[in-house]
Amino acid sequence: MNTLKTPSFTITFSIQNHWIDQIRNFLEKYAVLLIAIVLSLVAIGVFTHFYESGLGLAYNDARSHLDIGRRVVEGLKPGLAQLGSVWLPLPHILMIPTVWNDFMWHSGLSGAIQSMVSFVATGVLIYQFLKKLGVGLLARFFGVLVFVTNLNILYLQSTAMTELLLIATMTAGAYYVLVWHKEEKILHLIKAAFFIMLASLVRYDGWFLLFLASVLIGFTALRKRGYKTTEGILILFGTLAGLGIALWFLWNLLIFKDPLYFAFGPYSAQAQQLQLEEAGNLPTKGNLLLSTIIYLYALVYNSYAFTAILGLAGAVVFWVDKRIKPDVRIASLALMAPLLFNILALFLGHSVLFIQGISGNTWFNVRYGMLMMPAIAIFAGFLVDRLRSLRWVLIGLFTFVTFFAVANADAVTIDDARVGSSQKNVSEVSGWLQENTADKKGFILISAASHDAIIFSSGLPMKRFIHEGTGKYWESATTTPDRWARWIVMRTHDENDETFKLVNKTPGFSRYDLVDSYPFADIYELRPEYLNDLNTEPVFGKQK
Amino acid sequence: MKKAKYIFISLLVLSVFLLLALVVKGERGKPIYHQSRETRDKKVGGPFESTGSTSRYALTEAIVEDNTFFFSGERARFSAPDMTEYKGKFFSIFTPGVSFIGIPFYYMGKLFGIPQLTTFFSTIVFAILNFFLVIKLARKLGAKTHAAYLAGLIFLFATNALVYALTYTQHHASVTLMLLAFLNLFGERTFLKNIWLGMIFGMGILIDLPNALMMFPIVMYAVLKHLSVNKMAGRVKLSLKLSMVGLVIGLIPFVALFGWYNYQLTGSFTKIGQTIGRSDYFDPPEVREQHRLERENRDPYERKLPLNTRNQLYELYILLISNERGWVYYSPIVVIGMLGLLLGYKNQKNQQLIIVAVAVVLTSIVIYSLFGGLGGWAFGPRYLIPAAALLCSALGIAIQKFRQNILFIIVFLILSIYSLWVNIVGAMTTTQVPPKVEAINMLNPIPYTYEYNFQLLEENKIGSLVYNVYLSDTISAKTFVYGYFLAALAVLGMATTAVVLEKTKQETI
Repeated sequence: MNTLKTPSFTITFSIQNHWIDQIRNFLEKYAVLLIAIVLSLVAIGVFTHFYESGLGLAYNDARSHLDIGRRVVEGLKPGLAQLGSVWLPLPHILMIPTVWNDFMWHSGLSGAIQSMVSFVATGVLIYQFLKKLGVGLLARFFGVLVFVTNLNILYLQSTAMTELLLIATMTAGAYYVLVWHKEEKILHLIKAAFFIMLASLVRYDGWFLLFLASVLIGFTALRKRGYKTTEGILILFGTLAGLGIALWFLWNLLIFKDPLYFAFGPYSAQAQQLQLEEAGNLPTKGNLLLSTIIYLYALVYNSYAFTAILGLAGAVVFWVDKRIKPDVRIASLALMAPLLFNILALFLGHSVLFIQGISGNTWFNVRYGMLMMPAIAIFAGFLVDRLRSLRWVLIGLFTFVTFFAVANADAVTIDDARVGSSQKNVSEVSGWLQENTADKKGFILISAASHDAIIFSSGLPMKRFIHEGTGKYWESATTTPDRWARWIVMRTHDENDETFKLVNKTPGFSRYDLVDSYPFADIYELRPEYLNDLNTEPVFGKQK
Repeated sequence: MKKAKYIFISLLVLSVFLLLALVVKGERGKPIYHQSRETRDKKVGGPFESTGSTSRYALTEAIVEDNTFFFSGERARFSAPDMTEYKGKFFSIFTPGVSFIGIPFYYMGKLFGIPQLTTFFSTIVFAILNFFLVIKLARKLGAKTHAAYLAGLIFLFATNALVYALTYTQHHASVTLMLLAFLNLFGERTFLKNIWLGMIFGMGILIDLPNALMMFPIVMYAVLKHLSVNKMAGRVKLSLKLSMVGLVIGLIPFVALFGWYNYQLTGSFTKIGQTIGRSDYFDPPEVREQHRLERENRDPYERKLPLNTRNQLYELYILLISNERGWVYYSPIVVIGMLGLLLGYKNQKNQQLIIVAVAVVLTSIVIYSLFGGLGGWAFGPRYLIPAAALLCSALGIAIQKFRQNILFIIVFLILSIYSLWVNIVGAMTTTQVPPKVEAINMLNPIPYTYEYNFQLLEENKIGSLVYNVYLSDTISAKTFVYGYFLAALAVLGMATTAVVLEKTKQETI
């Protein structure tokens, strides 16, 4: 049969092999630097975007973190004791060098810087992790891409929240656990211990990683080297990795006279969870299935379903890949620490997580699901490397899905911060304080445990506030408020508000007028006729 | 032997035509209902039950009767809510491809006073074409004749392709174009083949916008075929055949047509009905007021694009597993197609094309998991009909491979009989199965699964024209449907038996 012939034009060009090799070698050699530079630029750009849109400080907790850091360097009783026991101290310690500056404090940059650095570091770690797994250059970059294009990650790296620092330290710990399993050099074990120690000072998830890593290291050492050596390895690892936890116990003992104050104190997570439980808002407690479902939903909402499926498929391929040594497979379990920890924490009632439409009608702490992003990115990268024939299909679909996620601003962490239970819009009450107290003398009595966001948002210096951490000022002001506080900010009739609890029965409280009332707090002002007896200057000097 | 084969195929094709004819929707009138403006209603089970059909039909009718793309008030009401109101004029929210294709069919019907019947017949033409295209693709992918015919039968009768063959919607035309595009990939790329592929792609856009995304892997593969990389001593030689320009040449007329159509409606070449949105013009005042308030109080952070990642997991569940629309629930037989793709991949010859097929299937699933898998009031995962066509072609490979494996045949028969029954009942009754959220909130709740179709069947409410015109006085609807199912089953059984008994050349030797 005759077919219609058409002329065929072809453009041909050649590339010398050594050019290709040079490009490849350049990328291999400078990939880490390239990633670091690009991610730094991304981090700065995204921070600027969220700062300008006002979302950078939307999380109530972000403002509290910044206040804790600030109180260490400024206030009526500055000092390290202000680190408190509510949260683990590393994020606040890292703020100390910058938070003295008002812009750094009020822009949130003092806390965001560490998130941004952690973001860059995690990108690099994902690349290195995949390299150690023998994954090709393209898939390594893809793994990094999965992590850095996630809008939830991008948002939280722009805030003073602790997730990115936790992610970076945990991923670094898991990475060195993997490297130790591969190369068995003692230096890697020390590095793993160091980063896990840091993670243990960021959030309690790090404590679980310490436990899990110890089990993995112990198991491998026991299998290969026998009991005696395993004992030595575990002592070496545990001593450094557990140092942070030991210091935390010691800190609680020294400051609060109880090594377990952080766990059972009045501001502990346990105390908060008890309140939730009494209100019937802790349905995951004692329900393993629901805990698992809730966490998996959080994971999927944070990572996007398609990406999560890629990660899951990658994990399966990784686990059945016979080219991966069993030791490496065992070591990779360290990446799963956030998954196991969070399910366990929900099950035991130590944590609370609301998924809109699944448990309650709001979001709360949904960002916990984001902690699995490094694992998802690494396994997705692995999948793309191994499924060579489908590689471009998967990359294409990932790009497609991610484009719409970003274009639609689909970030569940932003929703939680804006309209979920993690937000607290205190602009009215803080605005009142800014407007009516900034140019007047006098202290403001307020509970930082209940109203840190108001303190932050008022824009006033920390030394204008008398709160639980101000020692004699607090003791005096809650006994004779009319001598110390010109204004009192508190939730009237709420016994959980320490200020109300202590002040409402004092005789001096009758000398105040309720001047305004808002959803989160009421404002009382001392009547003018009593101002003469009011202390308006810090008189106690340096307190211990 | 060859003669027997031809007889078998002829019988099979004849049965397919007969079975399709028996399920065509219509009602008794003078002589047939729904053919004039006075007798068209949106009754459940009738041809105009879905606005997906009415809006497209109204456009065809407007073009033929009044030489306009705009709707009169009556046509706009007939199309609502799938119509757009822009600068005081109404027009269809859909892309115009289906309506354009329907024009000659409408003309033909008008001559005999049955414009609805003939216009809707255009979809049946596409469905028949798809039957043959699935067969052709299955053969190209490695299935022998009988297995390929069985694959075609499964697609047409055991998926919701049957249900949507009776509507005036984009689904079957999309399948045709997608399969034609896929078949175009076989063999060497030539200038003419590229023009043809460009035309198919352009027509795809005119039929339904997501076709552009669904066909994207096909076009990408065709483009990349023009690029060759040869490793030589000391260098790599890259060659790009300029015949790929043919793709653009083929595409341009259809893009131009689409642009012109948009310009006529909106005064802009790129502004299309779907971006303007549905009109609530014919809704009651209180509903319109509610819509206005919703628009005013819209959260500035609300996701605005039609493809949305937030509910992807749920939508995947809807599309693949749920009893509302899921593949597994409505046509579990297509799952065997996945096995077919895996088997096809092992064949070096077609490996790349199997990857393209996987890419198209995955792309379809991903797109509609972002868009929303429910598809309004619908029967089964209607957006996945093109993906089902590819999977059914691949199913041919699986049947070919395991045709003498008893366990496989048992599983195959169980799944195909179930799928056949569900989809026949769907085709005989209605496509209008409500989403769960709507069904349970109705004043008189109705089922939100195919249970609704069985309920209609129990009530003797079926849409078959042949039954309603000629048989409704003599037998019950249930008897008719049972008879139909048995006939379809017999055809399926005959095809399966032929596959099992077919001897390949190797076996004969």
